[in-house]
Amino acid sequence: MSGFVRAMDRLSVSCAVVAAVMLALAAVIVTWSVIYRAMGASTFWEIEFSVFMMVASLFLASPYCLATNGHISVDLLAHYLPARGARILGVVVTVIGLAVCLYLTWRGGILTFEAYERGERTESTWAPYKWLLYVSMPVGLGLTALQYVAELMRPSSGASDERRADPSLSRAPVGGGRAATGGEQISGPQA
Amino acid sequence: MSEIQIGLLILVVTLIVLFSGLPIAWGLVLVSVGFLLVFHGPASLQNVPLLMMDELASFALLTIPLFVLLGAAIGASAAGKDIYESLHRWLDRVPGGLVIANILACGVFSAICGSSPATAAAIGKAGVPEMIRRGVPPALATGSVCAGGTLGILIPPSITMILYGIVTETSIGRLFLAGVVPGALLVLLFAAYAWIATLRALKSVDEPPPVRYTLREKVEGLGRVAPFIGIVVAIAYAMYGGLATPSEVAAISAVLALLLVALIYRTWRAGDLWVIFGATVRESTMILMIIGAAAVFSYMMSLLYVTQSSAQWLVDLNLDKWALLISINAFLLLAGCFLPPVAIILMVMPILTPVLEAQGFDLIWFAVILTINMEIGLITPPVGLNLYVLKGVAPDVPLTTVLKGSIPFVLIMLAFMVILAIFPEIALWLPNQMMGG
Repeated sequence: MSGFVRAMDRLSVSCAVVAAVMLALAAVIVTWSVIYRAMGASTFWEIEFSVFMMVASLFLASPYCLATNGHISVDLLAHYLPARGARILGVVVTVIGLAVCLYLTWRGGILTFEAYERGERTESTWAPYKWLLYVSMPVGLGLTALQYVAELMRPSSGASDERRADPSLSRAPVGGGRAATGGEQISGPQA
Repeated sequence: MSEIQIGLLILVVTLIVLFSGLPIAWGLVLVSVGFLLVFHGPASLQNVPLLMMDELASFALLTIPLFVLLGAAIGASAAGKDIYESLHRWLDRVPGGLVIANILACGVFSAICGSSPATAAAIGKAGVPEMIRRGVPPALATGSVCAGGTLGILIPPSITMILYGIVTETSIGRLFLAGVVPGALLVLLFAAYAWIATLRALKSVDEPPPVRYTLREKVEGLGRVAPFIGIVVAIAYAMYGGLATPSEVAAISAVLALLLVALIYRTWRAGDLWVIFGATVRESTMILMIIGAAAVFSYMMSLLYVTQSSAQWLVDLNLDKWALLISINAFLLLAGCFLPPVAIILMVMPILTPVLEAQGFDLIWFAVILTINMEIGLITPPVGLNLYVLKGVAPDVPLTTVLKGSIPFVLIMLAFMVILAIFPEIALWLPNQMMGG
């Protein structure tokens, strides 16, 4: 496997770890704000902060989700094609996925840049800059596009086939498998 | 082209794109951008990223990753096995007690977990091998867990219900309550079937040697389950006592579950936590990305006036109330065999909501009908998620046997939907009682 593929896999796992920390932070902050409020204090930044964390976490975990076949899909068509046709379809689908991610990265980049230029803030008491929220989209989906390139370069035998053999990971059964389907699959794509 | 023709074209193109194997989230964006470009011009495309962001940056949506975290924390621990084991000890004298314990365990686990495959996996991991080892027919063993798992999205908390609430702007608290009685009744019906099926099977096979437990063992078993029952009670109390919003309840229960799992099952090393968190971010991203993409899709549908025209067309058909309900359910059943509930709710409910309202159907009641309908899709081929989970749990049982075992449960669910259609009070009594009519 080429160095780029390995590096991408590692980067995706690292981003997912950061995403996990952000989500955990959101859970703790919200819990804390409920306790704090119960003691009679008023809260003003907690809700918005946890929403920012959730959005950032979602986009940052996207490349990892792709690397572990977590983005749910229905490959009904491939089942009715001969092996060669299914392989070609697989490449076409990967290229389209890459194109969609690049498109959203570009559009999201414009959105972020404009919000930054205008210094847009949210309409709350806390009023954080909006670009801080928006920037997670081009970053996360840009990395997802890179992960798509890695998927194209990944040798078709080996890692990806192994992952596909695991029912909780394969694309066919709408890969929504999660921790409870075994837990083994989440130790990172190269493990 | 008329709006209805465009609508049909969207339907065909969307199905082709989604069945190609492209992730559903990207597929929805692709179709939306394509149709906006062709039928509305490039100007409308500017809004695409902002639409996704506005949809996703919502405190209500935070419930989804947090309830996923709650389910993953408990699913990764041995709690599923403990729940099943302790229920089994109390049912040692009942014919089919082993199977009934599994179904009840699925019901209990559903109350802390909002996803069907996760429920089937957590209970199935321990339950299915045990049932087969003790001579339960493999079809009954796998079928019961396959169907029991579907309770995950009916009994609160339920990710399907949260989404439904957000899309149709109905109260999530009310939706959760509406699932309680139907969920409990389905558990009873499933258990009754397991009892009868075991009695019938016992006539043809030798009776397996009964295992008996002392009262002491029974009480001991309860001890390990008590903390999780505590979480269920805490969720219900915080949500319906008006102490906290669903998002806050989700956060508190996720933190509580992580602490409990760390204390009881000693999962606090980085590796253990990664099993929980890796799965959580993976599943949350999948669901939330589809939600963001579906926002673009419904914007496109609405801008091209397809949503409004399709709804109007359905109303103008002037179908009899029941004919409409049956056709909607037949369509959802078919769609549910191919697409996950998340995608169906996001794509179909914007059209159906005004139609249902025009016909005087209760949206809360319909959520329960829809959820049971979606559950059936989860245990029918070709993309029944629970079937594949069972395949992973019991690799030796052929898929056809799992399917055969699921059929009686599918029939029970269909019959239950009819009962629910005739007696909506089954779903509506509890929410009306607790939150006022």
